[in-house]
Amino acid sequence: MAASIAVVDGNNFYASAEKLFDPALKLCPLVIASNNDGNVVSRSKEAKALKIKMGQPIFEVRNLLKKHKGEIRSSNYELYANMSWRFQTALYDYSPFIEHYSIDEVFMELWPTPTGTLTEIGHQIRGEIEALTGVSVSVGLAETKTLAKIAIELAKNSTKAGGVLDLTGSRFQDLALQRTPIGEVWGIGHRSAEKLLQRGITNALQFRDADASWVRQRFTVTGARTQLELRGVQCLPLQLTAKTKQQLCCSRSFGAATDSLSEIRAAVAHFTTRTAEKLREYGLVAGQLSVFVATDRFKDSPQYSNTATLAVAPKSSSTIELMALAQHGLSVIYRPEFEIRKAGVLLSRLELAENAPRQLWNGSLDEIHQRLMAAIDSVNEKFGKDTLRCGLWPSSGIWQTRAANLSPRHTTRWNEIMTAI
Amino acid sequence: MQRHYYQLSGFQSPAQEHARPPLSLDSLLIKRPLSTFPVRFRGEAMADDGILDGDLLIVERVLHFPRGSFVLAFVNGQRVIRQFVQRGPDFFLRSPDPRCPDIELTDAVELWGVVICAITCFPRRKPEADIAI
Repeated sequence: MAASIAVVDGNNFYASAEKLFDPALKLCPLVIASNNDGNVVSRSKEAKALKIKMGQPIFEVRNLLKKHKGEIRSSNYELYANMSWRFQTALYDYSPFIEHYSIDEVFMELWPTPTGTLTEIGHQIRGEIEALTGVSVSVGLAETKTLAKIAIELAKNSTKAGGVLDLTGSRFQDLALQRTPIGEVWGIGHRSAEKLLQRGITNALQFRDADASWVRQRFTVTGARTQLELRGVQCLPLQLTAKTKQQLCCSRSFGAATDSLSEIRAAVAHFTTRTAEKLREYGLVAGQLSVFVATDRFKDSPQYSNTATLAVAPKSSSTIELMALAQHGLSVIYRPEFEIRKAGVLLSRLELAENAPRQLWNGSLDEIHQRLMAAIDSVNEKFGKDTLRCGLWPSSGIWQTRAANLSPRHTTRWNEIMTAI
Repeated sequence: MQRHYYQLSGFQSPAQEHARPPLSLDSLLIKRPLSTFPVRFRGEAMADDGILDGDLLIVERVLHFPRGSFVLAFVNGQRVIRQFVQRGPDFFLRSPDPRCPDIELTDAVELWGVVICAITCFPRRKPEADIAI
């Protein structure tokens, strides 16, 4: 029997992770704020009931939450990453074929067994994952990823389904597709959805049954794939190994805009250091570096944004070399007359260090850089981030995010573990 | 990987094939890392059962809570450590301390995990010169 594709998704993942550790939050409407405490990025079911929207600015919901004894938490990514590792690893008990799609979502292959239907296995997964790891999940099953995503949306919104819905070969598939608005189909972007609506295609069923050559013509191969997936033909197989990274980026919106070159320099130094560290952690070297700055586009002030892109030749992962390029790039695009709100560094043309071309003449210099970076990384691992730095930049500055309501990092810091009486 | 035995330059070691990594407390105490969480215990409520103020508890989330086990539970917005006991048809969370009344297991009480072990760390003291051997 052919396998089904299951999508397993953490329910309100960030909000649930907070609630798991804090009994005082039990029935309270809870929202999680993005970096800098700007917008809502996760809502508990009680917060959803208050009609709080994803992405809504925090200042808009503050009073409403206060009235309903709700809480706001800053996003505690260290905790969420650990909880993500827990539930995604626990899923290997049910199948060896797992694609780790996002922090709170996996695709996996599942088979019915002599003792259990897919629906039963789905309920078993749901129960055991929550009991053992504390992460509450929903499960959607069908022939393809795109159909499984439709199944899980219905599973979440139906009280009867109890968080699990199997659409594999189901006579309810047409009904399920009919109930799914075209804009909510996985892989149909905002623009495509608008085009389809103009053509009178409002739900997934109409799209599935539309003329294939017309879909292919108007919505390219991406649209054609989505349509085939809705017809039960697998076009998007599981990605069982993570793709080699194409890009590494570190960028931030600053708490307040600034025109000070030295402040922006320090921020760019910080971003360069972080991306170079990641590069070495993955064993990669970069062939291109971009540095960018932008003004606040929501503000009624003179607007400016620019990117400097520089070649890193030969490819490198040395903070020293990348730092020089980043700071040079910043000098080129910096304009003192604009207040900069956001900046960042992006490394691209990445390659595994051992595959990168070697230099004939300066090879020993490469090796010196590698050994120096390895030494710096090990000192910083032992004594804390940025104990050794490349360049004279301060350890705190405008790039630091505001996180006023951060909960303890219960599972990764000894001095922040849960207490009980 | 960290080396736990060295290649010898002189004689081949008769112990070579028997070398094993040193004992690790993780491997002893953490059988299921994905469902294991550390907790610090505070207070005197469980002292007579051997769980002391400041102990580090290893708590494991489980499918079934065995009777008699020590558990972490969420009660009235607080995290508590108690013994999970049955008396007649009813289940309770009990403390050996008579000042802590039994907590009846209702829907408002959430059993969170089972305490696998309690680790008591004594403060490190400076060696005193006059009693050096």
